[in-house]
Amino acid sequence: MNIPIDWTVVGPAVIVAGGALIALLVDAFYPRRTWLGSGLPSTIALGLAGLELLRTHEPNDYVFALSFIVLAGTLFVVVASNVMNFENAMPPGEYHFLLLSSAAGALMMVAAHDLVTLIVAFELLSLPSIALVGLRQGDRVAIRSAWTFFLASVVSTAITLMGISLLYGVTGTLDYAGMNHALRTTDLPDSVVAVAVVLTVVGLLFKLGAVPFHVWIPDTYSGSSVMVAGYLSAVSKAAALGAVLILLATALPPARDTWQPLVAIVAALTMTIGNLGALRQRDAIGLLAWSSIAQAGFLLAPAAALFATDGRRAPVQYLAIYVLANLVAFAALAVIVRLRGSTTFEDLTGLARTDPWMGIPLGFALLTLAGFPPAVIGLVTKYVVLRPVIDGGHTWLAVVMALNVMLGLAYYLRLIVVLVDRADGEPYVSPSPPLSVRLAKAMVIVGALGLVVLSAWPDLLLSNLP
Amino acid sequence: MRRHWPYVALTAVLSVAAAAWAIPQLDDDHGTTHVWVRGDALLGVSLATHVDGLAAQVMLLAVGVGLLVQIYSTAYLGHHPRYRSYALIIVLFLIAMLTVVVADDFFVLLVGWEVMGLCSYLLIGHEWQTTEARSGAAKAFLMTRIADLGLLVGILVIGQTYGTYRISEVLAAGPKNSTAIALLLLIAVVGKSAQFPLHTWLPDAMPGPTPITALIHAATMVAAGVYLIARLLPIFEASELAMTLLAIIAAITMLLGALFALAQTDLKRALAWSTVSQLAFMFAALAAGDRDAATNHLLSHGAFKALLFLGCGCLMHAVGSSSLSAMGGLRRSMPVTFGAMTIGFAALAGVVPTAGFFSKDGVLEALHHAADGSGVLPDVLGEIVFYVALATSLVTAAYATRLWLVAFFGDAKEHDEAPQAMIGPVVALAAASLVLSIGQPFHFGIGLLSTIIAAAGIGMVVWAWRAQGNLDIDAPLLARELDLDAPYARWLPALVGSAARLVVAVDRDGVDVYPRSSATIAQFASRGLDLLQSRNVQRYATVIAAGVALLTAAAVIWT
Amino acid sequence: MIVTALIVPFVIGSLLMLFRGDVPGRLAALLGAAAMATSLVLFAMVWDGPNGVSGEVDTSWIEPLRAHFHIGVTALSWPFLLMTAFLGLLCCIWLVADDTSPAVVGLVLVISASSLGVFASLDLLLLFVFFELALIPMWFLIAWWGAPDDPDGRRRAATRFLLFTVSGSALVLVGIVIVAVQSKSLQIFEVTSGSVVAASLIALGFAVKTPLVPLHTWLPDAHSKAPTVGSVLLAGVFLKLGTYGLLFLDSFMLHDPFGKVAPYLAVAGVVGIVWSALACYAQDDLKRLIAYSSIGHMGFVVLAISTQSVVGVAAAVFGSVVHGLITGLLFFLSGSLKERFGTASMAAIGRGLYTRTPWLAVAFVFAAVASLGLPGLAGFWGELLSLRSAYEVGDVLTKSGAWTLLGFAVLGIALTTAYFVRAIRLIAQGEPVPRDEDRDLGGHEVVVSVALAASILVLGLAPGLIVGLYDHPTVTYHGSYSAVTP
Repeated sequence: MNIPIDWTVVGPAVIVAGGALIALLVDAFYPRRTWLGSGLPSTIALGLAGLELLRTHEPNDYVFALSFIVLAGTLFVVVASNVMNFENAMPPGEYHFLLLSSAAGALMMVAAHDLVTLIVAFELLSLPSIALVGLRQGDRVAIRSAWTFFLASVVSTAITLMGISLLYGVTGTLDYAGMNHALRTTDLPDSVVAVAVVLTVVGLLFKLGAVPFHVWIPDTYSGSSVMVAGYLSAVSKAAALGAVLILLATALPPARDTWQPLVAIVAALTMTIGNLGALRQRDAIGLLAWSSIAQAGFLLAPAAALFATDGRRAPVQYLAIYVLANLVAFAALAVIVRLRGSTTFEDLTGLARTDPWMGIPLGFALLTLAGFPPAVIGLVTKYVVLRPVIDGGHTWLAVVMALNVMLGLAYYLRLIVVLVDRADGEPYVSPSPPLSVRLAKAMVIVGALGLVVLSAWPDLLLSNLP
Repeated sequence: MRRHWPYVALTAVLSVAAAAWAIPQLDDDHGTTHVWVRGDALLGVSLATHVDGLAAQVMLLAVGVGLLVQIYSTAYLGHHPRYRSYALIIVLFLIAMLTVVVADDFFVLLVGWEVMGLCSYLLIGHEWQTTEARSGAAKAFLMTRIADLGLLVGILVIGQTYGTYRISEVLAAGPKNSTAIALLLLIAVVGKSAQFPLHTWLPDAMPGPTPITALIHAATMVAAGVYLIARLLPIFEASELAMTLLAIIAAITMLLGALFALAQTDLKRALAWSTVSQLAFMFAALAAGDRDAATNHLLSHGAFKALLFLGCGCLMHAVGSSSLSAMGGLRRSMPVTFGAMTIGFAALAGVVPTAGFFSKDGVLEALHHAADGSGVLPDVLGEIVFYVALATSLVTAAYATRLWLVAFFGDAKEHDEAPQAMIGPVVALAAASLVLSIGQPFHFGIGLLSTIIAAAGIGMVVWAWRAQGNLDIDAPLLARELDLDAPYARWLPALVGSAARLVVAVDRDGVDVYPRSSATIAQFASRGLDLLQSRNVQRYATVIAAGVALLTAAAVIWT
Repeated sequence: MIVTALIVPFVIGSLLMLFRGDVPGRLAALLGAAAMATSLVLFAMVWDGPNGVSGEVDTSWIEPLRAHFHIGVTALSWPFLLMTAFLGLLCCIWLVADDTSPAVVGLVLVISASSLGVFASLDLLLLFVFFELALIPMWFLIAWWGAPDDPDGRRRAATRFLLFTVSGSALVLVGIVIVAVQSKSLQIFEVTSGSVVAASLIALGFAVKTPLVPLHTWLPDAHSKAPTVGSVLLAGVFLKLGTYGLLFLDSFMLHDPFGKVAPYLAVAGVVGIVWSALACYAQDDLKRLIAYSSIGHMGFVVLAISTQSVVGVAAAVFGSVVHGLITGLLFFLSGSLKERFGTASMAAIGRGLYTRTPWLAVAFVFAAVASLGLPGLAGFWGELLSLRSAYEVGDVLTKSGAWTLLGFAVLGIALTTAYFVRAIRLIAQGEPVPRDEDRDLGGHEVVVSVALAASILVLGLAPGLIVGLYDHPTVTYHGSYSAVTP
């Protein structure tokens, strides 16, 4: 794998950032409270960034795959965000501006090949997303969630900066390749390198929501708008994972004996704690928040075996399916919040009967996350992440993962059963929904269709991602 | 009558077919083997038959008694609501019995052997409304089937030892590994033929319809054990241990059975004990190595014991009970039954010129011979068994006379003679009990001795009857049958029952702990994680800091 | 041909679930029966001899993982396939009634088709996908259409079943991945070696499904709370997924490492025989009793598999298939009882069924007698061959060990007789107290009972029909069988 350290890779990020500004300007001069206002330019900017990505990168490229996931995820969020009640709570211009700025940060993060770019991108990703969380006007829960998110973020950024400075101190460079070289050739004190590596990775693990940096996730997800939570769980996680993978694979291979067992332990703890936390949730968003912690464990597990067969491809393939399924689930919940106001299990009861076009895609997405047929793709990607873990010799981790699949099914199935259960009250008849809701619904259905198609032809995904 | 003839006709066809097969082989000592379906190599089970003189005789006995019982039943149980299933199970039983007799493959034999057990179970339980019938049936089935497992394992040993399951090939190969095989088969035989210590089921099987008792629990199925050992005698003879054990079992059983028979107050139960005792005679002959004596006694016993049971059925039909106290003085009102049963009791007691006399004579001669040391048995044991057999003869004569006197003599009672369909078979069996004595070998010294002993036994009872006017025997321990049934009736069920309850409890409270406790732990952990989400930012920062510290420490220690 | 045999029930099943409101129940059941009959006929027709693979289909599926869509019928799977299709057909016939929900028929079809898929798969990943596919439909079958008197209990039982099974199957997945990583192939015939860890994980996973003591506690709940067809499929088909998996592991893929695990399995199996027989002796609920009895029968099968001999293979296949038929019949009949009396408690049903519902009682006694292994009926040969394989010791067990196990297995047979005699005594016999609900077998019940009883009798009289498939000289299976000696 050859990752060019080339500023041209930032092209898509620049386009997206430009799109962010245009969205803000369009909203200022042409204030519309619908998708046509600032959503359309955002969508166009993301599309252009995609074209730029296609133009400048090999389709097989690692960074391409990660950037593609980020772009596609953000696009999904932008379109589905229309379901949000822009009339009362959300200023659409600011919303799209922040979203696209953060996405630009995400794109830079997966393309970063030195630690300065990384930390800058990291901040670019984080700060707008904190603002996104707190953007709901007059909502004290949102403000508090943003505050929590902000403080936790600051703590972990500080720790990461400490790690970076240590790394710089011992290797004398911030460039990934140079660092690799320095670590390989110079005789450095092991413990200092170990501390430096751990501290550096901490910030990224924070974004990923790995244990013990997961504490902010349940609060933040349930406090923010549903699609923002979806964005955090999908795009922001994708960027963090991409950055971790590239950092570990290019800059820190010589220190692998230090971080491999740590990553394995963190992965095991993360999936277990995430699943355990989800068990008692009686609200779909809370459940998805915890489940996204657990999924982070599955994403991280193959990173402990990066140098085994397919060790670098496996997490990306898993990530693609995770992002799609999670976004479908969050978008469906966003629609439900808009129409019914809440996502507790009581409110969701019988959704697949009363509103099959939302209930069934949501159920299928949950099945995919659980990794259970008929969502074959979920199962296949579980297989994909297990493979390097076993090839890398972490059989114990594979067994932990296997048992976590069982634990996960326990709560995913509970929600699925709620969805298909007989509803007690009157069947819900939704009044003819506005265009914005229809767009979000369309995204849910398209995304779920994608999952169905991939379940029928898993090859489509597995042969085409890096 | 129209209701019954199809079943009688079916039995008759079966009997004629079996007879047509058996009669040409009667004098064939080597037998004719025929393979109908050859099995595949892995399973190794072939549908093969082997009929020799011995088999032919037993076949004729089975179908003969079977047909008579079927005819008898038309009158005895003809109006029973479940006559149809009853008659069909008899046919199934006969087929199974014939299978056992003609089988040349151990598995085919086993199939017949256990199907007989099933038929016995179903027929004993024919009156399943009553507790006695239910528990009698269950006991009979359980005890015989558990014993049959010996046969099952024995067959596996045979297959491994000889590389074949064909009886004729096994016998032709000469004895190998015979102690293990013989002992395993002995378990099955002891169970099926109700020998000590598995003898207690047969008396409890008496709640079954009397014709069934005559057919299955006197003439045929219980004698199948004798037939099996007779068939495989070369294997048994090669094992001194098995033969010794067989002789000891036979000696204990014959005397116990006779003593229990003496103390009964119920005619049918007394006859059941008598069957146990007489079967032991056959086993004694086999232990002495005399196959012919054993099979002769098998045949004659089959005839006269079937006669006695069917006659008992006639009496029950008349007085409505099998209790001896309900009978008495039936001599005049039921003359045909009286005459026939007199022959039967005479044969049981061993009175000349009944078949019973000659066949018992053969057995005693064989035992006497064994005491000379010419057989497999140790001399002393042969001698002991011989004297036990003589003592048993005395007791047998005594109880036969007692039953005869109590049932037919004393104050006359008026009852109707049984119907034709019942009397006919009884008379036919009485004739057979006499006719079978034709051409039997006779040993003068032994014959004289046994006649003296029989006379003594008869004389004693008659004297007692004259002297005290009744024949009540006051021997509580014998009436309780020495409590030998307690292990099966009480201890074993109690043991299994408490073990079962223990298992259920452990399953629920022991084994199931791990899934339940892991579920509890998961819920507990989940609650804990929920509590940790306190929305308190300082606490979050603490958690993160602690996590970082731990990870760093781990990394440092690791490297 | 096989693809059609799999697709037809899948498609019809899914359609019935989708259009559950628009199809009358009777028609749905008939459609389902037609689908399963098609499947049965196709699987019967595709067979061309015990050597090699019949009706093989092998196309690429997930190229990067080297997973193929590879299905076919082998001598090992054919009896399982026919039995599954047959039971599926009978389940549909059983459901021919006006008040049947088409969704139930659909679930039955999907469950049966998934199980058929497992038996037909020659690719490990495909096998696993089919394996998991049946689980969630089964959850719904138990949790929604299970015991009507106990909504919480049936739901708990269903979840318990699912979580146990998924834990097991997750371990199987890890094992499969290990095998795939080590031998660089997912094709069952190409995998010829693997580590002991892989064999242990797969064996442990299938042991949950089989189930072996002490992993069995999900089974009595699930079986007793499931609806009749659910119990039949659980006992008849699902448990066989476990034994088939173990058989596969043993005879095709991981013969040598499996030898290291086999002794433990054998012990667990035999403990299960005795344990479950004792547990049965103390049951009052008929369905629970039958459920526990399944553990014992599966114990015999596992004992046979553990000997790693051809006799053991024949015993395991025969025992599994026959258990499907006999226990299927027992569950159908106890379902009939539960339908009539609203409970399967023997005390509540009352005594004397021989006169109250004569044919039902006769069929029950027949099934019980077959289940306790009476020679001449099918149940006997499975047990016999198991005992024989233990007696002949086979490749991996020691003589003293195998014979001790044999002794306990024989004890188990004795106890089995005891509890069935007890059950017969408690319901079939006894002074009858007629009740209004007394109603003898009718219509579809007769068809199902006669079909099962006839097949039990035929296999009892001609065990060679199945055992002959494994007659030593004819078994080659791409050479993988060579490690097995008679």
